[in-house]
Amino acid sequence: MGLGTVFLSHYRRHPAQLLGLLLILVCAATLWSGVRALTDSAASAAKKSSELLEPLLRIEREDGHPLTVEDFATLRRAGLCVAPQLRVQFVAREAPDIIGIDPFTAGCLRQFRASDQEGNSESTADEGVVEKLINAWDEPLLLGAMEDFASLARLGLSSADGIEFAATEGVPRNQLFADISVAQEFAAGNRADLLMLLPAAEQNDKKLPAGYRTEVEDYGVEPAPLVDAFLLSLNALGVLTLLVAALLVRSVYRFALEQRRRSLDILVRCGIPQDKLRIALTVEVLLVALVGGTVGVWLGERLASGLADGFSGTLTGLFSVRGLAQSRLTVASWLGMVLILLFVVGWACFDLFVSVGRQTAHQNPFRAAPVRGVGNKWGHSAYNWRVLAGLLLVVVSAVILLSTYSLWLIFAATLGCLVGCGVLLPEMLNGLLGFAEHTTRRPLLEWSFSEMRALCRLLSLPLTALAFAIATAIGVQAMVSGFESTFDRWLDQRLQGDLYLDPGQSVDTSEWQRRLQALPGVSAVLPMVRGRAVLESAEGEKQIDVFAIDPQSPLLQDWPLLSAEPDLWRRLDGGGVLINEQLARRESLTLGDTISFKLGDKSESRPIVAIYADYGRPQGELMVPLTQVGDALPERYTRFVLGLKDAAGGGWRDWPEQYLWMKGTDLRDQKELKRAASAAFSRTFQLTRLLNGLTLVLAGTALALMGLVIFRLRQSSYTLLFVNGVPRRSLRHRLIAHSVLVTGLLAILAVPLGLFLSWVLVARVNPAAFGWALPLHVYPGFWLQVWGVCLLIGLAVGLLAGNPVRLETLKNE
Amino acid sequence: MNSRALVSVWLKSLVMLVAMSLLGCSDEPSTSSMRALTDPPEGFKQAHSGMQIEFPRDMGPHPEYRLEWWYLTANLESVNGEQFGVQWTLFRNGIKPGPYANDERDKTLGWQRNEVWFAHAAVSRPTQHRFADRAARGGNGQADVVADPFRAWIDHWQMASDGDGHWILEVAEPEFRFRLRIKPQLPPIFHGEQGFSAKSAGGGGSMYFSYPYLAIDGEITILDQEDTVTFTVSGQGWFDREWSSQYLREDQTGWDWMALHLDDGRHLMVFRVRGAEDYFSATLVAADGTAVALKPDDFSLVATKHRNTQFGQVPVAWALAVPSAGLELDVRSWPGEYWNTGAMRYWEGPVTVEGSHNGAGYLEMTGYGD
Repeated sequence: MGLGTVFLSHYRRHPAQLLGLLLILVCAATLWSGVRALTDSAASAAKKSSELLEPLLRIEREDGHPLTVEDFATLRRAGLCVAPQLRVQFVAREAPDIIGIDPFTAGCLRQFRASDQEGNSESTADEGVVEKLINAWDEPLLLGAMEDFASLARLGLSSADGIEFAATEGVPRNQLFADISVAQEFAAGNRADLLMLLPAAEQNDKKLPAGYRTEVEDYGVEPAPLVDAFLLSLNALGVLTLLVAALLVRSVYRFALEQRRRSLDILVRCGIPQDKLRIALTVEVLLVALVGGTVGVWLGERLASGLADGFSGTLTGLFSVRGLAQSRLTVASWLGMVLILLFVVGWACFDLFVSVGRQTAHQNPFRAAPVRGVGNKWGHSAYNWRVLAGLLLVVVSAVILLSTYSLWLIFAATLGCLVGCGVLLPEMLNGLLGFAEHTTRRPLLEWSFSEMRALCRLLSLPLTALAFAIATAIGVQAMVSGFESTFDRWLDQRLQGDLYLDPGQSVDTSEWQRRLQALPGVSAVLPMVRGRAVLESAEGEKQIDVFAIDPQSPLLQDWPLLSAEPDLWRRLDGGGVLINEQLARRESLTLGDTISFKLGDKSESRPIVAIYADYGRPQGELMVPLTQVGDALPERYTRFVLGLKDAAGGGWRDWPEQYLWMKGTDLRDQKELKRAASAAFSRTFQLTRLLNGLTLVLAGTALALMGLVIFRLRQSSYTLLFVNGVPRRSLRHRLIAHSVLVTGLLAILAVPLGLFLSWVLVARVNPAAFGWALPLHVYPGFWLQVWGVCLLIGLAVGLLAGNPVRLETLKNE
Repeated sequence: MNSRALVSVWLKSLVMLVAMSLLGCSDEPSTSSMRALTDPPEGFKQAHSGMQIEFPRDMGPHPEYRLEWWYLTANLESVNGEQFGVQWTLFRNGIKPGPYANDERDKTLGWQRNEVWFAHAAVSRPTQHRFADRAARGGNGQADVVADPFRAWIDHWQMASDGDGHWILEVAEPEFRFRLRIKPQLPPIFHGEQGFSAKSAGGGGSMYFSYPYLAIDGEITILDQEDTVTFTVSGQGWFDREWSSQYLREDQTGWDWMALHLDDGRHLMVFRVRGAEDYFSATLVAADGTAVALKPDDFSLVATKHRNTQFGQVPVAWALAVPSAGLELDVRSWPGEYWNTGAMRYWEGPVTVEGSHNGAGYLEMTGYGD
């Protein structure tokens, strides 16, 4: 019988252990690689977006007429590196926009430029766009995401007949790229805008021909690098999952080794060299990591692609990062995962390797170690050191946490606190039970407490893991629920109108305001113009959002403000500006400060008259009167808020059919808009909740699996009591009570840790990552739920452990 | 024809070429691109013997034919004696035949996909070669040619008649600029049979005529980072017009073409198409403009020296003899490398002529290198 067979025989006898071990590793690898796949592709999309940033101008005719192909020829012949774009929007139909480009001149824009001479591609995806369009020059071709092509195909357009499609990564969602001549075939009956784009640098040495002017299309300035913060938060959750998994794996391994010491001891006695055993153990570690890592990475990739759509939507919505590439399984990611798991499993067996190293050739390292009781001098001092180290870690981490604003330091310090608490928690539980053991006068109760202490000692690692999972669940729930309730209240204050109209296209604001005012039953119309501005701060230029409203509107009166000067709407009209909380925090701005910014090509400086809450988006934003923003505001887009004389009547629903000019608009009432806003955020938190839930399930399952085995180990203790006259039934009840009490007590102890995590998330992480702070809410109802779950886990373990009395366990006594 | 026709070899499908050019690829094997020249006309007209050349009509584009070009090479000298070579070429490649406008006035601009234009420009000095290219779709006004008054352009590069018997050629790129005034000194000459130039013993060919002697003056500006130097130059040049739809046989892999200006006032164009059996053709132009098509037996063209370059070995010295005309010429490329890089790499560089006569000219070679 080979050594391998002997090694395997352990798992043959304990298949649940192997299954549990693999399950933990697979779950951890799945979560970690899934998160990494998403965050990596998001980071590269964000990096690409920022690399491609280029100040762009849009050329317009001075006579106001729309541009034509003749204008394109005129501009090109004047030596300008102009690239045309024909943007076709399907009015009133759910279909992606078709962006027609001219592959021969697209290279003028950095977005489409080919790789440089060193082969450093600036934009692999868009380079692919140009290449594919030219290669398929004689047949019409659309490029983009398969889903977008499918939604176009559903329209059943005759112009789409015979058009080929090639799935192309990096094309923004809801857009399909095509040759401009192909896009032109879709233009009839739809909204089509022909744009001439010019890199701003071109204007330094070349003059525009007479009759043309330029407008800023894109400032080419990076928005605040907020995506990193968002991704870091996700990765931090991933690290937490790994930490929990590492604890669980270590506990399973240590436990398995306790069981295996006897068989290993026999092997040593049979003359198997220790080196050989060590190699066998190493191979086992490798195999376990390999299997767990491989399956986990594969599942993680499935998880990532399942979540990619929602995640991509979140990124686009929150950070304007577009073109999230589908993550691909690579050898590097697989190898990375296996290495991480190797480290985790290696750490789990660290004790064994070390003990092998410490032994002399004549000693058997696998023989059961003497019990390191509290009375043991070495054990006692180790205990003291552990508590001291845990305390020190908690204190140092807390100090860092309170003094830093850097997000990664906040996460590192939080991790430090968690690890410190993880060291202290089982000791606290042990201490509590020890105190109870010494206080009680009833012998059976004293035995029960001592038995529970033994459980805590044996299960300290999975208990710590469960404590982390509970704390995270509580922390994340508090943050998410806190955000949702704050966001709901804020929406209530902010949405003062009855109807919200999105015209679905750029419109003439005053013309539409006049038309809307004339609609039956409309009492007030508030145009809201959004666009982009550039903040001129001490550290350079930053792109921010700009929001223009009519300060006279009655619909603004209950606007949620964090701080404001008196009579602010009049002051806004008189040259002031409002900023959102994000911008105030990021730039350390307060009331009365002056802020300098650029709207299009117009620079301005204005005093801040109020700071308003603006949840849900990380971007800095400033609010100015409508009269201050010109038509040339980059990315200008107008929506309208309408007040109705009789909000209850539903007649407005027919307007888009009744009035031709409203065809294709999106008209919603307040209730619907709130629902949509909340839905958007549920999606944002979907990933967080999923990670969190899975971690909790993982920890619970692992604890249950191990609890079962541990109770089997403790059977001798119960059987001794049985032979001394304690009834079997009572002992069974006691076992269940022990199990429930340990998990219940742990859940109670984990609540403060959860509260601490909640505080970290709302008061430290949120302002650093998103720019807004949230009030800290406590949700005792949720704690009760978690506590209930823990009691159930305890109960399940207790029940499954079954009859603790086994007379054969006394055979060796 | 001239071997310029073979230029179309680069146009495996021209589209592919432009794609590669835009994308900076340069490893397309030249042999595979020969297919474009051997493909049947597929709805386009094919040039054949017996066709007549007509002016000014044939200075303009021929949309019914798949491939055509306007090709200028010039040997120039500054007032201080510095030597320059200039090349400017505009290509039109039909992708789909028709619909055709009846005349200029019927043309409406739009976004179409039935032809592609592209252009090459290069300025050469001994040991130095600067090259630029441009590409455009047809039909949108970005590139086109008008026969009368003659005007050929792509973006801001253009060659146009000034109404005073001159063509003005203007090119501006970040690395160089030139503005040349060009005046034909001799009437155009027709190659082959009345302008039909065969490319193989029994294969295709093209319509091909040239202005063999152009008097040129103007300015060339070389831009080196912050250093900008402008040279006033003058000299002589050669201009080719050629159009067809199918040029070569499948076994033909490249060509060597040269146009030479001799000090006795004569001009000589000669090419060899390399294939299973090499095909030779030449036209000798007397000082008074009389052109004689030379038969392969009338002359010999042999490579005498090769040069190792970054893209492989190329012949750079040639022995060219036309015994009946008393010509024993030693044609040598200038020192340096004259590769037009980009999609389809080819050699386009000035040469000096020694031997029985002195002179200058241009050498074009395709199908060489790695």
